[in-house]
Amino acid sequence: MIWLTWRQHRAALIVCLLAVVGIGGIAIAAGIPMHHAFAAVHAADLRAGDARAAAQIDIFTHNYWAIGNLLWRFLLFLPVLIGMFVGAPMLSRELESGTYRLAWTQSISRSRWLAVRLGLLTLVTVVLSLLLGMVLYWFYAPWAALSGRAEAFASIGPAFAARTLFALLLGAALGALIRRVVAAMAATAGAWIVIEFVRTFWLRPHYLPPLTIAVPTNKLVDTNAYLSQWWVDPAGHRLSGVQFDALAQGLAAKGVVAEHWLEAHHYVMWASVQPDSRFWAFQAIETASLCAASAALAAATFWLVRRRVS
Amino acid sequence: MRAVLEARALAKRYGHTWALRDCSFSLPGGHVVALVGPNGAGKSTLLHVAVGLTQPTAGAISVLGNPAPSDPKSLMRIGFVAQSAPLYRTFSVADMLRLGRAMNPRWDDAYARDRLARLNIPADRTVGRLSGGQQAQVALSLALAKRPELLLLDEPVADLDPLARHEFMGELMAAVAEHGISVVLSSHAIAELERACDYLVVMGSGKVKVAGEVAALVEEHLLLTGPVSTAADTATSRTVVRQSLAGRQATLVVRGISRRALPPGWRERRLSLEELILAYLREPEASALPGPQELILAAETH
Amino acid sequence: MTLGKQTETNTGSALLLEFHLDPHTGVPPYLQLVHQVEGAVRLGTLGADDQLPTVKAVVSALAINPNTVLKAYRELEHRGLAIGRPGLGTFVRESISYRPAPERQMLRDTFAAWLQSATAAGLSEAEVRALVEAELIAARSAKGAA
Repeated sequence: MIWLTWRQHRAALIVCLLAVVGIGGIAIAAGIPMHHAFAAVHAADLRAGDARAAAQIDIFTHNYWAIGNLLWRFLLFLPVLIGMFVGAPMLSRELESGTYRLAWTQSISRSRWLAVRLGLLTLVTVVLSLLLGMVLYWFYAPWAALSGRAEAFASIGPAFAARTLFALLLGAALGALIRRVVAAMAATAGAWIVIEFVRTFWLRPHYLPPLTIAVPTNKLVDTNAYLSQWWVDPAGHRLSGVQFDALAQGLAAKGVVAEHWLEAHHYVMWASVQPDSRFWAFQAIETASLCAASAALAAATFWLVRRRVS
Repeated sequence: MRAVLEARALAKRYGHTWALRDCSFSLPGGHVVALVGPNGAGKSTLLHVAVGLTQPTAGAISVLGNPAPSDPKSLMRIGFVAQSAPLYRTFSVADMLRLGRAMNPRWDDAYARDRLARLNIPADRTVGRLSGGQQAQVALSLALAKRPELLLLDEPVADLDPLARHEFMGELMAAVAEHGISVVLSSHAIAELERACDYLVVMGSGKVKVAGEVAALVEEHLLLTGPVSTAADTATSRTVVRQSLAGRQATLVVRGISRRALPPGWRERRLSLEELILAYLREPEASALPGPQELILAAETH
Repeated sequence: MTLGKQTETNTGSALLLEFHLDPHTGVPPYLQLVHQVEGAVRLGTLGADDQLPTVKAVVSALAINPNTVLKAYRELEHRGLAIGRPGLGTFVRESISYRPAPERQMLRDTFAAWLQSATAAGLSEAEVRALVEAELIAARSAKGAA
């Protein structure tokens, strides 16, 4: 059965392996010089905010902005590809082409057949994506120091593996439900995008109650993740968005930059943030919830295969 | 011989359609059984229930004595080839054999390889590039290599050209001769199975219309033709399977030997297997026909 | 529908008999096989102790039920034309109803002479065949009515 799973998913597994090796290789190959370059910056005290450090940060950012941004953004979409091209066809192709009538009438029960196949794919997916996630975590370290780990959150660390696992099992479950390969792939993509959207913009910012802080000024690096920000006047009143816009427009007419004027007149900017120190806590929350959802999807897949497809 | 396949009031519903309805039979072992009926009669559904691919809505089925068809212990003793001989098209023939070896504890790999070599089907050829006849032979080889006691084939020759069909049936009969396997073959035409099968099950509208050994069935049934005027008289004390009236001539298909002589003007002859099957299929309630009184009334309205 | 493939035979001897089945004659398949063996023995194509094709070989070539062949071979045993040897196969027995050679040759000569006069009288080959068929059918039904 192990051979059979390999044989049926040979192409996909090879592509995945190549992708991991390729992306990991790029990350390491580009990451080593990047880390060296950042070591020079780090030598200067980032917190001091002196002009030399600022200049070096600018240089570093300029040189490595491209690779620093593109690599983790690319990883954002890998999970859905796994879901679409490995998870969705797994059962839907058997059902659509009728080969399930061959597979389920040998001497193995459906449950065992599914368990071995799904189990092996899950194992390989988790191992490869965990590996890649950790490599990316290492790679991203300089940027994490400069601007925090919130932006690349979904591509670094165990959360990436959890997302990939979830996508795989989402595809498998939808494949068992929909029974047509192309439709299952489309549904997987659609569902995953919606879920990802909701999680990224509605759920993740509130895994833990955000902190309200006065935004530090004159800081070279800021690792907080900002949810929202607003100005407060010297009397302690919050400036609404409309008020701020009116003020800014009036100032702009006189050629004055709003932020400078506000700071000069002792206005303070406050913000609702998630500090970078919460990174591992958030990773744990996201990973655990996705694993729970994955387990539910796996259970649903088993149920569908055993009962409904009759 | 012990029954290899038994069903009692088996029923299967898909949505609002009944694919099987009050289906009951008992197939003895050691035969090649033809499961015949028009499309939609329930043949595939019946076979799918027998191999655990489908759960019946009601009733019971027993395969080789096992009441749970999806039990791997039962599947181990059955060979099944679904309609259109499904195979993994991107696999090579050797891959398919390996699949069989991986999924079946009882597997005669040498037998399968020898068989395919004898049929000139190369082991390294991709399944998708084989002809329809060759694919059917590969599927049959997979089923036979399990060394089953019972072989279930769903319309195995429907897609094959006459030569491929003949070769398939020849191979199948050779396997039966060699190993004494019981076989159930479904088809919507009896012609291609007639010389191979010695037991017949006719299905229509999800029910079993008639079942029995071919020789016995042909022996028991007669076609009687005669004038309408004496039709009712002829029908009494005979089990009439089907009656039809055309002008002044009545035709009766009867079952069983009657002691009463035929009235004057009546002739009798044996039916061909095809005629017998048609008689049962054309009659919605084949075993419960109107009695003599209704026959007269029907005659008078003509 | 003849024995095409060279499937395995017990003693490795070449196939001695090709079976043909005609689905339209109304004669049961097993009887057709019996008649063909009888005919082969009468003509001398099959001699004493020649092995009849194995059941497996026959069904493989004709795609018929093995029971049909078994029934035919049993009938041949019953008629004294063949004998089954367990584990070895079915073999032609010295037939007791086998016509002695001289008588057979005389019948054949008589027929040849008749054929000559029929051709001289203007009968075509097809008409000769039709005549033979008609007489065979008449003889058959006469035997059946008896």
